[in-house]
Amino acid sequence: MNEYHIGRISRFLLFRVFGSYGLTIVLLLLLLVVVYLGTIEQTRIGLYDVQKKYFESFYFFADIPGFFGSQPEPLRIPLPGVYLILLLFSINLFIGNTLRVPFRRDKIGLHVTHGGILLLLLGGLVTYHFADDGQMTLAPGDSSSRFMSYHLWEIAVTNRSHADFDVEYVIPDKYLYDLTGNKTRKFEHPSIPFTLSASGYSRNAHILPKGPMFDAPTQVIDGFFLKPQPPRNENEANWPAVYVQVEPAGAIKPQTAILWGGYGSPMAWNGEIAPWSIRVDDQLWDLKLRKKTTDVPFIIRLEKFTHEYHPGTDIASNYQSEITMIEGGHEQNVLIKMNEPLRHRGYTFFQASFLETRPGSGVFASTFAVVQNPADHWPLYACIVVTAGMLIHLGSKLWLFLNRERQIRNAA
Amino acid sequence: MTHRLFLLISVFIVLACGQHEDTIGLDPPRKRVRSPHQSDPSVTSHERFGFEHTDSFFQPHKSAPAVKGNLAWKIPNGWELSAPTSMRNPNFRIKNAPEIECYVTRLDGGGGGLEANISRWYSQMGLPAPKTGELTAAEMIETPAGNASFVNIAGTFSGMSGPSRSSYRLMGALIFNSNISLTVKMVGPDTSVLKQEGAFRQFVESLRPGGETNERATNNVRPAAFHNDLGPDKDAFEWTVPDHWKNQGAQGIRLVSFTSGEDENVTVGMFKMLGNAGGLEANINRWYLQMDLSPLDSKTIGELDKIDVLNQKSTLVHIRGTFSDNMRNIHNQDNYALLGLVCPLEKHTLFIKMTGPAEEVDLERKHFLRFCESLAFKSAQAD
Repeated sequence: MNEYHIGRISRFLLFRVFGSYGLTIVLLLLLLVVVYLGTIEQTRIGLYDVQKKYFESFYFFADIPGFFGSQPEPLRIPLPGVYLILLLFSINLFIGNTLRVPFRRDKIGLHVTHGGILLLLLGGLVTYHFADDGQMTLAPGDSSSRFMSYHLWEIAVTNRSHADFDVEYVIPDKYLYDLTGNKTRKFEHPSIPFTLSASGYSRNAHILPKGPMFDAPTQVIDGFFLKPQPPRNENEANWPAVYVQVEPAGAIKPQTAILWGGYGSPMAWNGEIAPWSIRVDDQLWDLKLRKKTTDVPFIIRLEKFTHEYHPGTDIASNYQSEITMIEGGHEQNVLIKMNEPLRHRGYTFFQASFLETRPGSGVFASTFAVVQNPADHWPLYACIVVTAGMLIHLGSKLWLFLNRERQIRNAA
Repeated sequence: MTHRLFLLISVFIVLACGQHEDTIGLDPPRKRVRSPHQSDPSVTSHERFGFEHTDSFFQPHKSAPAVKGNLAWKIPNGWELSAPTSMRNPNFRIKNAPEIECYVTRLDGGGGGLEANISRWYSQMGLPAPKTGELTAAEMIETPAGNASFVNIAGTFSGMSGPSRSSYRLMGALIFNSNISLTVKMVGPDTSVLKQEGAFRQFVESLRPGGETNERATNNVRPAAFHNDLGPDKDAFEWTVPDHWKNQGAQGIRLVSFTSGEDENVTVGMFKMLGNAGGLEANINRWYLQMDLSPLDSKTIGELDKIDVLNQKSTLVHIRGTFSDNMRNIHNQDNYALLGLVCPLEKHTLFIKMTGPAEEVDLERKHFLRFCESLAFKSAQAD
């Protein structure tokens, strides 16, 4: 692209606006404001909600309390979310510094540097849309090929009628979160002998028995109702609940139940709430609200977990897991340590934490943070590209400067 | 240019319609290794949610006396018996602190066990569940019915209904052994409950198997309908009923009930409860919850309409929403209205409530108001 073409392109108003330094400055200032507001609000609503509201949105309303003096209503200011800001920033960078800057030898460093920044931004976009993360906890001797999401939930509908295996259907989180109020959604599959309806989803709820002297705020099923609770700052501590109804074909009466995501309670079975089991057409089905689970294409078995404490404290100084990775019948021993994760087939297993399987047992389970991110190494590549671009650009400037100095000296 | 705009709008409409799809086809299933957990369709919600979990952390006291039948106790000074319910028996009222709730709940079948009940109380107070070690370290109170674990916690109380209440205290005792499972619970404002600690301990220490010397026995306190135990005849009423209302007589806790409307789907009920029955705010907000509306703050409740009934300024609400009443097995009735009156009396609170399709309730409003205003004490007329 020569300067003639660049000149023609830059005549378009949109190109002039989106490629301008003015827009760059505005976007960077907005980024500063939004990050500041998000950081402040994090103390009030927690990291997860702040990420959703400020960083993963196109726009949001910032509430400024106390603006109207003693009035309780805050001032609501619409602001662009970080997602939109970075999208515009990428366009601004692309047009302003890739299309508008001429492709000359002395500008190559600039193009490479900005290309590196664009790669970094693109990596963020890919990570946001395609990455998956969660955790896998294993006691010594346990093995698994699945990890659980930190934040996302799903309904698992499992056919348990087979002797050797289960058949599992999944209703993803995206179909549940908006089922508030009277909204109901139905789910079907040709192999499932019933229609499943879900409604009354609550992001955080208690399950309580209905007493005789009060009205339950929600539908009572089998003597219990769900009582919505305000979301906790730590989203991982929220226990959602949802009403489900199974409607078999024909004139069979529908059955309704509450599914609850609570676990770890002393009231639960083996640390989990038991699934709702029903029999339809002589088939046994389990329905369970659980953290979203993701399969990995290999099996991890924990052989041994060891940890050390700082002397005289309960603070872990070092912990590591000896695991066996089983894939296609082959076994491979791997040691996962703090800051030395296992990377395999796009998945990364970090040594995250550990816990005692039963209080006082002295047997510890190991927890791995699992990340699957197609853009895992893109930030590294971006940094290399930016560094190379800076070296080229500054090196060429130095070369020009030294040449000019030599010419001046020769002329003198 | 126009064509492109039209195309863009069309694509947007198609996408928007897709987001409101009501029936979703599920993705193909995944085959799994069979889970070792057993599936059992006969498992009840009680069992699923752990309320009948019998493998309790608590070890029973084998030496505890048999308490299969009656339970006896001494009532501390300043306490008096209140109307019992199926879950609160005996139920107490503290004379100088009517805002305190205090009662005994007997939990047949273990009630989930000691740890579960303590965790539930912590949860009600907005506190994290205690660890097992903390539970074992809980203070014990010796009683003739068995050792009681003593719980004394402060926080923001969220009960089964009504708004959360800050600066509250829950004082409780739990006796779980092979012969009996019961809890004694006192909840109220922090300072008020702290003043009752001595009386509370005295009451718990007095709990014993029922016998000839019982001063009160749970089996002797009938779980009677409210209006049977609510005081002197002074609080018996008479009224003038609109001609088209059909008298359905007393039902449950209702002193009287009526129906109206084309299909008799407008219902009117009147009932009274002891004291302030939890307070105006809690009761108004209970009705708001029934209508699937957000609760009101106390200031707004104070500004609600008032009418004179039985010579008392009584609060009137008329709200529309989606009505549910689990006591009557009514769920999610859209476009309903609730017309309610709360009348504070000397010892009781009188409630009159009309519910039904919104348009029909609107038409009945004037009759409802005339009915309320016609109320009079029987004894007053006799005088």
